[in-house]
Amino acid sequence: MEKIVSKALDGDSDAEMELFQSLRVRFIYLAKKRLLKSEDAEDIAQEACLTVLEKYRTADFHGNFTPWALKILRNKIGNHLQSKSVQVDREANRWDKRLSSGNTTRPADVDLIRAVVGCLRKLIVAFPRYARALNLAHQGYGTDEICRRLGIKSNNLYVILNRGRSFLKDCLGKET
Amino acid sequence: MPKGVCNNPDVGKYLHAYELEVLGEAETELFEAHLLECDYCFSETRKFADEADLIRSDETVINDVSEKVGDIETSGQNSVWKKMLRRLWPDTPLVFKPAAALFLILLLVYPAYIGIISRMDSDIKPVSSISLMPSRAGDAVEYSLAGRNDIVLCFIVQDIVSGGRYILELTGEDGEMILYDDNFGGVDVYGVGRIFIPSGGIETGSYSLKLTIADEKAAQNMEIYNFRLIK
Repeated sequence: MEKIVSKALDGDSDAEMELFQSLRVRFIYLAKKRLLKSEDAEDIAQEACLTVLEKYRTADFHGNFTPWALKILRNKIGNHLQSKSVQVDREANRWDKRLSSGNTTRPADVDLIRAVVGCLRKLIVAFPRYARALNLAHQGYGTDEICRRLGIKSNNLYVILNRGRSFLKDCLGKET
Repeated sequence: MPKGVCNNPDVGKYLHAYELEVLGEAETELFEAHLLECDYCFSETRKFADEADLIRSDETVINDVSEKVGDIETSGQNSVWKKMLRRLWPDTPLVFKPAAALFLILLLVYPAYIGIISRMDSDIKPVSSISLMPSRAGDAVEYSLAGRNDIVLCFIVQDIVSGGRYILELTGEDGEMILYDDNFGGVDVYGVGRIFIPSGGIETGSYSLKLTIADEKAAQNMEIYNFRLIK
């Protein structure tokens, strides 16, 4: 990323195009993760990309382009949440989604849920530590608390989680 | 940038923790910055996004996991109580259960405890303190007697004699002698004398307390305290 940025700063228009296409895709993903409405997420990602495009030549980001770009996106998301009180809607939507999940799930999702549940059951038998970490995550604990309760260090937790994830991916037949 | 490998495994290790949303704010920010520059981690999170979303927030999945793991891992206060219960009531014969032994001990100790408490309560009475100042004019100060309290009469001695002995006379309205002590030593170094009168030892009425230095029965060495007790 830093190489592309330096090329773009040197005036390479292809590098600039590549940089902003790459940023746009990632910004949309990150914005969608924080906002439930995908239209809003795309608008905000677009706005953040434009701000980066306007300012990256003159801004002083001390060689750390990605944290600077991410900060612009976060500020945009924060402003959006503040101005439209989307946070409240988001929480409400999340609860609505949970409450109605039994009735309104699409048939394709039901298959996916069944597959995930089946694989998780196998995983719980084969790898109970992943299941314990997952159960604590469901209860709303962060990494520090999960580590404390499992009596492990954070690096061990990340290894356990990533192994569990690999197992799930294999079980679900996802490409690696 | 190679496609199949993370370019920064130190941050890439947060991948699944990020998907499950258990990372702290600083780690989340670090991993999101990493996502902007690592094709591998970005494609992984996108590929697994639907499954990760289900694992994180779908009620069916959450319930299924908690049912399977619930026995092993329970949360907070609940687990403490269950552990305590398991220790107090293990799967052993009744005589070996700590809770049963504890109950038996309490059963034996309780009557003794009740006996001690009732004895202590019956012996203890509240105390009323009455502070007196010497009076030459003969004016009596009134004090209210509260129930059947024990009474402590405190009186200020103006001309204190170090280590001295006093003659103490407590007389009633009609001159009846209630208390006489010709070797009274209950005056402390600060010039405060005290007499303890048990409950029922004195009734309502006017009283006069006279304190004289034992070896010189002279008027100038005499202190008189007049007081009246009312209900």
